[in-house]
Amino acid sequence: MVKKESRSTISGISQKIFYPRADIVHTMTEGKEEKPGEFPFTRGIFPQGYRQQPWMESLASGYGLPEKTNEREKYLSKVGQAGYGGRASINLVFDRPTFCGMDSDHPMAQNELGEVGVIIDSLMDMERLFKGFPLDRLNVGFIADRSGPIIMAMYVALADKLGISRHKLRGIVCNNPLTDFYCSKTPMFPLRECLRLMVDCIKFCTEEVPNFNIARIGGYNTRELGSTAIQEIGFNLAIAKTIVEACVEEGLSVDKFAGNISFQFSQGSYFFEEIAKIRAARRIWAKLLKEGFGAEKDSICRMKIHMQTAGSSLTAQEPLNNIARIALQVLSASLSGCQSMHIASFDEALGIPTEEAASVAIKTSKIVMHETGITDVADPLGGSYYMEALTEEIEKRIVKLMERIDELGGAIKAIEEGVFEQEIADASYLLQKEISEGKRVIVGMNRFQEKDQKLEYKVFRPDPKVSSIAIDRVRKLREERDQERAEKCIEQIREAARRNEALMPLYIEAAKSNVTLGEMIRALEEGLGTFQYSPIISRVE
Amino acid sequence: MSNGRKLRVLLAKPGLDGHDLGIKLVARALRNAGMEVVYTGLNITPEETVTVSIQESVDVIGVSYLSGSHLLLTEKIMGILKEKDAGHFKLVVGGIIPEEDIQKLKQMGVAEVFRPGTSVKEIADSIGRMVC
Repeated sequence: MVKKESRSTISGISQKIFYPRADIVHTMTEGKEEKPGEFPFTRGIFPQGYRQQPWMESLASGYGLPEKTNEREKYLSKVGQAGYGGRASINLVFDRPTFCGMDSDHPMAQNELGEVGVIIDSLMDMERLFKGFPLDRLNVGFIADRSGPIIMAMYVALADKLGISRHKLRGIVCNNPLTDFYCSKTPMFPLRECLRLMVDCIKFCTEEVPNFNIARIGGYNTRELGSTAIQEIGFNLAIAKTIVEACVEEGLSVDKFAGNISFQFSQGSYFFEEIAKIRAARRIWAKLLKEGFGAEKDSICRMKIHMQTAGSSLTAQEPLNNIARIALQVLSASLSGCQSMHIASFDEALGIPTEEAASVAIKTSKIVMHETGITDVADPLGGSYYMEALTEEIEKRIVKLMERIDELGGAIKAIEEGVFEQEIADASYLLQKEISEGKRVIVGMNRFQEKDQKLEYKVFRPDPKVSSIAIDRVRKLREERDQERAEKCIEQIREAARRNEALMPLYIEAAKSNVTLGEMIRALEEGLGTFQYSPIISRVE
Repeated sequence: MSNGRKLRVLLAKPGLDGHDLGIKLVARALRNAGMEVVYTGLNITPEETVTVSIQESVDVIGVSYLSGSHLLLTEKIMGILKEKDAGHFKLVVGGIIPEEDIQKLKQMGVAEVFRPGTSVKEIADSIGRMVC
């Protein structure tokens, strides 16, 4: 007799040796068979799956001066990165100062200009960034949260300047400081003010830039902190719910804006759980919008999902092994039926990807898309006893977690009180313990290491001259602009922030008047105040 | 410690880097190893790192970088330590540090560099030995 050994998923769901038919409670008892493209979209949001629209490759990228990132984006397009319907796809990461809303000459900014993303201080930088990319032929992504609305406003200002209709702009602005609040902990406004700024951006874009995704609720960073898949989805659906509530309170109709809220989740290595969580997430979101918020159109309830293969699953040791990990993650992401993907580069654990590594990432996606037959059939795992049972179990656990967050007083309160951060810290410590004890195998790291393993690698290094150029540029901009006009714009932002008035049109006007991102953020801080968080460490001993 | 006092460690994330999974795991592990740990959290300046170290009279300062700014920021911290006559602190660095930068950090006076793959136990042991 073989010894029975207990096995569980990353989220701690105990796994049976096999799954019998009797385990599929959901699909067998609800009577009506669910097809792909039908509410509640467990099986994907399009009736014809990827035949209708294959996933978009959308590699988060950016470094150095805007011109450098422009070159990198052109390179990615050249090796095959493609958006929807022949559009180019650009998914931008900003350097930490830009992400935090600091100009290049801010004392805290100077140590890390252009290190992990592109430097954007002004509308002129936006022009440099998009040179040669027609804005009406783009799917653009802005990975910016605290500074997201202002980056978006700068993009609209650029379109205005170039004479491109706002209705022709397509893409996504992350615009979700709530998740960032407990993840990367960017210096922040008070949480409720963050929500207000976010709603202000949603409101403006719903009217003025209606084909743009107005928020991306990202579970990726939650997961990268070491959360379980259940926490990743549960916390972020709770946040999404809070955002929808806030928009409805502002008088927006769910049927008008909710379809432009999109999501981003992490694709880790634990294969089937990563697929099941996405199927469950779509089901919960659809039901929440319809039953919770009274959405009338089914199409509004479709959860649009961007998957990012998990950076934290990659190892700095034996980095070529990461190519295999990433390929499997792309496969599972495609089986989950996502709409777009960031495919990590095998050297992502070491630094900004080299061109070669980024090219391998895009080709990995192309291989899965064109060589495996994955795109021929929608939701190929639908109906599998195991997949349906796992989807159902995960759904139950996520719903339970969301109910608990409601009991705590909602997502805002739970974040303010450190509940999310504490629970993630505990989960991450337990996971790390399993890895360090060898209970979870990471090949080349805690098992099967080569004896004389060395951590020598070719790393990407941004140009050291970047800092002085960026600093000179922003100072020169301030010297040469119409100072009176710029100061008037700054004052208007400060006052509107205090008086709870619409801000997006003011950012756009400010961008056109060469007011910098850092100046706009500072005006908001003066109007709204700031929040200092206290870090939280795992309680597990 | 010779007088039986618990070893005190300041853990800090200087700069704007948002990656704190690693340093929080190290914080927990050092506490579990019997050390007293003060963790500053994110977004602090080199000046604040040194000021808190002096206020908390720690034995070791541990800083973590995953954003590529380790050379610039460490150099600043070392400079301020000397300025404030606080050169007795042992400074250790962890994170994504390229091979070629290890020597540079050590030349600045960094006591130890912990790179990816170092277990939290190795870090705790190494810090423990440092102050004996």
